[in-house]
Amino acid sequence: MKKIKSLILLVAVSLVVLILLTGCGAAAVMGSSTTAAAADTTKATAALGTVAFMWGGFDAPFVAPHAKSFTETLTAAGAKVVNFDAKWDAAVQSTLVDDAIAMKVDLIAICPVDPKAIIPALKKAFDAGVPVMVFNTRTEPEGDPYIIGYSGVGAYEQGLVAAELVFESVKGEGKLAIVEGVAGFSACVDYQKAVDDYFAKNSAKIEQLGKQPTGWAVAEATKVTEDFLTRFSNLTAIFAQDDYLAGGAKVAMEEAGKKPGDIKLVGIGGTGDALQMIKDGWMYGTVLQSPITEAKFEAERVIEFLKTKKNLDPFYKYIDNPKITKENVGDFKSEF
Amino acid sequence: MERVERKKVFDFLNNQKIFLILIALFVFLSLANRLFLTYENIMNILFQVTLTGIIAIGMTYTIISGDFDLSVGSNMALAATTVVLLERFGPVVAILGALAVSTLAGFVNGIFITILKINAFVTTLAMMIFLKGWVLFFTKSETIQGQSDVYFKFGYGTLFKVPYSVILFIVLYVIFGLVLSKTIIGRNIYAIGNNSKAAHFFGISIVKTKTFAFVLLGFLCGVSGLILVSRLNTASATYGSDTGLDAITAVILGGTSLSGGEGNAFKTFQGILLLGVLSNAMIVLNITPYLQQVIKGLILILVVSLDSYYVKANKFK
Repeated sequence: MKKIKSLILLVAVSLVVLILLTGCGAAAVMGSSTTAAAADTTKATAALGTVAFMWGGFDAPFVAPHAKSFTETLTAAGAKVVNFDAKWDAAVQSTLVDDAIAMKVDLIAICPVDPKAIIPALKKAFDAGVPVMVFNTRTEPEGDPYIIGYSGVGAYEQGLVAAELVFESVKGEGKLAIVEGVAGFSACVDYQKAVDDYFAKNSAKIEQLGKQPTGWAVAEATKVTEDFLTRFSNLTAIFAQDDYLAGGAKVAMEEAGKKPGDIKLVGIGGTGDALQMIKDGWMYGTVLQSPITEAKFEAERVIEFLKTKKNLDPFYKYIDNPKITKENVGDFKSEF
Repeated sequence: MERVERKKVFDFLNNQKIFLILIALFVFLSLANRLFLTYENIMNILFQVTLTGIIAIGMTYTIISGDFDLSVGSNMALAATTVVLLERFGPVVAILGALAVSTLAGFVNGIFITILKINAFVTTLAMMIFLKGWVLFFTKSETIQGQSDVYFKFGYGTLFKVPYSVILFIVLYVIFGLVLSKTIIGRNIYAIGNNSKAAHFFGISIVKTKTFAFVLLGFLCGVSGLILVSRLNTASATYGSDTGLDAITAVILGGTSLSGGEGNAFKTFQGILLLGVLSNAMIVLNITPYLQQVIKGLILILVVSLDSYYVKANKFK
């Protein structure tokens, strides 16, 4: 009897201690200056306000440096950042907006998992008087009346630059395979549209042999590329929808006995590994999308709103999408 | 006599472990953040657990009968896709079509498992992939959007400030909780879960009873798909990826045994509520997303281990 009572007590105490400990740990990991116990008094300590920060999911490699940079920039300006992880589920993200409204945050910064599905939630936030800024991935135009602005990359514009790199690498003619992020994710859909449009406009004789999703997982990118190399002996180019996936693709190419330059590999991001792969000849080029630079850019727009309380001007503000090839790789340094 | 009374109290508390943990969490979170115990936040928690919670009702039936279903997330996504695709024929046709498709998927699962005797893991895994494939095919890997806003009236409507979907969630729990505990088919499900051979020799039809459980689960996946469309007015193959695991977690957390024969809908309700409160707690306390899964996993291990200890201890009484 005593043992059982002790066990019950142990479970209850463990739960409480666990939540307390990890709550305190959260501040150090995310770079926030507040602790869990102070969450309730946030408005007093965070002079600029509280920002609900909603990525589609926090497990993609791009997101960690982005989230850290975003949080640090806002914290330095006197704001508090609360993180919401939708785990790439549009329905979950929709309900997280409800949570942010209930928490009476000063602004929601959201990267929609699905640019159509998020619109009802944006309307709900708008009706509740909670301003929303969209970052990284645009919503459909129907969502624009409910937000204060968009900041970040243009996925379609990035896709055009990537398509240009692919086109250049094979001189307009070749066989292409695509290592995709997540099937149906809006940025990936935009990348594909951009590739299709660019090839059509430039009369490219580039045959797209296949496309496979990887869930943004590097190991999956290696597996997918191995499959491509097995199926398509005449492959001349691979477009990996981010540089982490390109790294995975490179591993598969090496294992298959390919040499640098045998297959033209193009990515998106500008990671340190990608810059090195360009120097070594494994990658033809990439489109710069530094998560750190992008996060600061987006955080500064948030700060602008929190200070002025006015809709952002310009409504859409994009960061540049420079292409990086062997010719100019020396101009860029590894940031992530 | 005092000893008997103490034993009764202890047995009652033992059976309500999750409920007690929920109360402890409520108290702790209310003290940690005044925004937790607001009507708005509590309604949000209930609103958020509705989709998985409704599926968890059906999952309770299948797990008590000794099986489980991994295809629920894909089934929900297929139901949502069906509603959007059939919209042009009117909401009634769209809704009935979605329910029919998802119920049929459940029926096929039931037949494969009970008549063809393919184990539930393989059957429902294959069904999960099969259904997701159809959703990818129909949506062309994109998100498809409904043209009518009629479903929003349900998705965002309220009755006495309680969302319609939450009311439906509670009503379904009451109805199917009573079916499980008070009807012959419910008792047959327990009997099969406890000992399917003995149940067969007693004249219980394994095929009919288990198939009923899977058909019900399929139907409830359809209901969840409809609620999904009523909130998002879209359908996509990315929906429901984690729903199966979350539903199974809620059922196990509530105290239903994976080996079958034990559990009930009220316990599953507590389990789904606990999952919802934990998710909400981690946001309210601003716990980094990188640790949230660790915490959920640890709590699940603690609760399931404790439950396993009690089950083993009771076997020797």
